[in-house]
Amino acid sequence: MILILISVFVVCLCFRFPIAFSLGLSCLVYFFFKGTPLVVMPLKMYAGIDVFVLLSIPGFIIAGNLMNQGGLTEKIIKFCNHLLGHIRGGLSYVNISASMLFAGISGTAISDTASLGAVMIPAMKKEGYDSDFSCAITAASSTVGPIIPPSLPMIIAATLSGLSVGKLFLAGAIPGILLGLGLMLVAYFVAKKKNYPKHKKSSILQILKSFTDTFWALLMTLIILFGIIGGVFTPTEASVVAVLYAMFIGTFVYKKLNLKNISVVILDSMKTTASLMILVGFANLFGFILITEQIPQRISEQILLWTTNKYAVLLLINLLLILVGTFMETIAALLILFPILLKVAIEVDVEPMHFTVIAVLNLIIGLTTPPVGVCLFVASSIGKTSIGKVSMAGLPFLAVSLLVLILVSLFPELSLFLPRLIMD
Amino acid sequence: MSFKIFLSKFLKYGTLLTSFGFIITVSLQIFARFFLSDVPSWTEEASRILFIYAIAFASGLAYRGNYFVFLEAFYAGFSETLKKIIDLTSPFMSFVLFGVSGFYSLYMVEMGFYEHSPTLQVIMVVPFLSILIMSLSISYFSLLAFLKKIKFWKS
Repeated sequence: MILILISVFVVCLCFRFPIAFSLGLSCLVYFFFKGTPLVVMPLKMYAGIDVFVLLSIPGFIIAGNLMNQGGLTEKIIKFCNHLLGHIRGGLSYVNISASMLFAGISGTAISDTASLGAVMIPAMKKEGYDSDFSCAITAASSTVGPIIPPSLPMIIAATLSGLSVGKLFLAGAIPGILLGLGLMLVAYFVAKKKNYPKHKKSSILQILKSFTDTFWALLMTLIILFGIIGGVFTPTEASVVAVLYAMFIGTFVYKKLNLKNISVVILDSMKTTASLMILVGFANLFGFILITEQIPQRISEQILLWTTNKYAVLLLINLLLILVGTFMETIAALLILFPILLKVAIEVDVEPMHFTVIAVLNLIIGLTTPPVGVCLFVASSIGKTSIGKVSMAGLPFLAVSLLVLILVSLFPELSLFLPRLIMD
Repeated sequence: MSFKIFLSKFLKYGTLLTSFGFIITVSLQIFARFFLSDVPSWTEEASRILFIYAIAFASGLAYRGNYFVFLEAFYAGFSETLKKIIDLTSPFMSFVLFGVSGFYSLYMVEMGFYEHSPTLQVIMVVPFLSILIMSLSISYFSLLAFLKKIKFWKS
């Protein structure tokens, strides 16, 4: 029976059915052959969506989109440009640092590639950077977003594992910063080799002015983070505070929002959220079948029969997740695989919080892994460059991302230090 | 006004109303936490119901606007004929999936008549209806997409 479930799912996926619907259809066929009452479908979908932590997702998406509508992307880029533009290949660092700052606001890699790429790729090309390099660095830098808090994949992982959202946000901070710095290091060597341009050094006054413009937006990230970590708000409350704050700043400080475009942003954000929640609902149904069939236990037993070495198991999981992350969207892959693999990881004494960071990191690295990493596609279509060239230019960035992944896998303290220091 | 336009407007305003309702309810919860002696116990449940309704109203619009993610990797390598068949099959299968889900959510709604929510004490029919709205709206728009594909099959 489980073979039917997996086969239908894989066929639907390959046939470009929406991932959420592929999950739903495979469950439907499974129930049909198994003779399970089909009322389980809407019941389990409802149960999957009716989880309090998930209520924070629309809030973060709305707040991010409101800030973006308020011209935040350009302001962040301008600030980073004043700060780092004078170094050779300055726009490369601007690209990466803007992603790190923007990360706190958008929370997903693909939206980072699309929104920052639309501004950064043409700007880099105009200044003489190679098109493939501009696309590759944009794709690579956008993977920092889902690790640095607040991160949507971390919220989903918290829902699946029962871990604290605040702790998971903190656990992703050091790996995210490491990833960003690693990418900057690669960009430095490439820029030096290719003699990419640099800007005139900005005055302190210019830096301060652009910081003031960006300050209100960056403050939102701090309010969210410290609100959750300090126990002032639940994640859902923090997300609504972010929405109210973004509305206020966008209307009265940046003066770019009014009731009409706020409504448009909310409607658009809710459509994105709906597509995610249907995925969550069907993944809950899919997970229910896997659990009834004892698949996590069986996979866990099989892996542990083969090896009980913690690092060998982590290596296997890393390889599997990168492969899946290459093909599949982060949250979808997380919903399907995370509960199964978490069980395996716990069996070999990997701390669940540490494993969550490893899983998310793997899946987002997959987004820039050739030949089919989704962010590579998005960036190459913005830069109008072939995916092959972008993939080649992205190899050094991929290498450094993998190095960070190895470090994070081998040294749990990189993930666990901050949550233990601040929240225990 | 055609049914399609009516439904789209209904879903749009439904999404906006429930989303604003959700934001206001959670804001009230935060306000009560800081400025009132007690946080009303119903806010969490009300925000959950409003959230689910916002999702239910938005899901049909999300389908119509192609917001769902899919796997592109293999599709590009398929022949044109196969692509056309897939493009026809996908909305049909979506219609079947959500048609079945809609039909069985009627049973779920029926079950809701005998249950009450813990704090608001509303009959569970109210939150369960959201799944019916979600299923029906997606199945309607997928049926339209399927019929459109058939109409333009030869071209």
